[in-house]
Amino acid sequence: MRILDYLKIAVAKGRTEKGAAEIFKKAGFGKYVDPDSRKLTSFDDEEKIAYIYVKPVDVTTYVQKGAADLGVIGKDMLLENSSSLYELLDLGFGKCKMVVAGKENKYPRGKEETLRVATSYPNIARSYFGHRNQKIISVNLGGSVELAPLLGLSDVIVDLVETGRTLRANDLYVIEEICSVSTKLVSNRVSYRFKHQRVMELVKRLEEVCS
Amino acid sequence: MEYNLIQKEIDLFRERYKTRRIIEDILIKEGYEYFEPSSFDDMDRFLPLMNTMGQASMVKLIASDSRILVLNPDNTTSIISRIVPLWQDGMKFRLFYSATASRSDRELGISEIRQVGVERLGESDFKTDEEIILLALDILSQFSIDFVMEVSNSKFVDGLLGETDLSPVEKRRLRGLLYRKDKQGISDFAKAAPLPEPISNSLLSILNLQGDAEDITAQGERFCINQKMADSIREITALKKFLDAYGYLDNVSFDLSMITELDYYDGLMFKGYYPGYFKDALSGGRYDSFTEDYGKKIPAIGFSLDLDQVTNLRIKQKEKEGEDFGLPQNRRSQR
Repeated sequence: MRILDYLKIAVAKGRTEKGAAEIFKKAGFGKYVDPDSRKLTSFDDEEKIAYIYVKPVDVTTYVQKGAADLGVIGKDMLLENSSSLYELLDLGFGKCKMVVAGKENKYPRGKEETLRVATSYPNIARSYFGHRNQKIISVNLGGSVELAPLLGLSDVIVDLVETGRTLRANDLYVIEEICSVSTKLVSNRVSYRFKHQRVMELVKRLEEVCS
Repeated sequence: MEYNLIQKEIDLFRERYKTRRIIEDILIKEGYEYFEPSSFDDMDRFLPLMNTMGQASMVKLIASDSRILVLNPDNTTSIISRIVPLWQDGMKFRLFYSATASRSDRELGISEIRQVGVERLGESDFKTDEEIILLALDILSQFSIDFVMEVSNSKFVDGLLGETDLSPVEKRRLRGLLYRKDKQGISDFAKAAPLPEPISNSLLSILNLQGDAEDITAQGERFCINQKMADSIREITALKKFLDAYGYLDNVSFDLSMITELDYYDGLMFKGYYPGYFKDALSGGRYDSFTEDYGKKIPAIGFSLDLDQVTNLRIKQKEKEGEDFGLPQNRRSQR
């Protein structure tokens, strides 16, 4: 099978995929990458790279378990999955912030009370509030978390904010910033060692167009 | 591996037993004595591990008198915590174990890690380091000649971080960034701290210090700002010469920025990988300072081998090469 000696890159579908296609093309890769195609794989036979398109939540699994050598994924997913992957390069796009937001720009409850937090990132929320010694109940949602405080499902939300437009449209305010997030090129530890030269060549070429 | 057929299960047990025996025979021949880590212990015994491993990954039990116990989370810690309190100067031990460590895991629930490992206590000379890494390489090459051993020396990073006035918490964060080879994260950290320019430059450059020993020692020397860092370069240079003499240099890749999960090594550390597996098959190093957490600093070095991975490798070889698959030459018995 030709894929065996290819460098396999798992790319998060959606916005990340488009950003990645742009950068890879700029660096001279990805002639065969078509973000509008519905195919789940594409092959670059010249550079011997196989691109695999998977759901953002699955990228770390594919890379961690060696189904892919490298991955293109947001830092939010790496934090949420407490990944131990190598973060070889910041690809410089998909920049946003992980924030705590609520109906006012301050916490609605004191530290002595349990805070209800709606989020799609329960692990990030638990770890952040854990460090602050704030007890929380995490309300785990698949999306549109902005609705939760409006309907009384939670006191605050923990979510990604890019421009802040969605927050403003729903009358929500940033209470605190947890961390900055952007898209990363990651690698598992074994591919990094066994395919070191090819991985580093790719990193170098991408690095030149990222900075 | 899990099977639905009893015979398959018995086959697996047989192969695992054989694998274990091959390794144990080598160790017994080298004068190592068998030691049994306990399968559970008071949680307090593992306190020094909490920082790196996290309490969440320990499997807890409650005894009838309400004491909290944990299933042995790490064989080395279990052994050290029993030996160090009884240690007397001048003692020397060569021990091996074949035991299961248990970890709590978000995905798997509880995972069992079957390991065979060695601990060499009471000898601090470099010759011991050489003997241990050679033993590790001989064992890896016993099962396949296709493997990579990552080798590093923790004194380089420790020496560099020793020049900063970062708090222990900040240092741990920085080590976490190095662990993930997160260049951007390190650069952001250095700016925010802020770290003096020579130190932040070194931190960013050490991620490139890997591969051939000659290259990295030449480059690494330029970043040495204290004796500890210089020692690490000197030891790597000596180790390279030693490994070359035994024909292992092609299997070895040096990496000065290496940080391990259980961050308790001081000095030599190494990790062995077989292709096609996404976890290290072997890991080890020198951990004198870690013993200090149990009351006394004693020279200690060792490694452990993932028995399940090696068994799986043997089964795959057997399927490929038929029943009479030949083991690679045992380099040790040839010498």
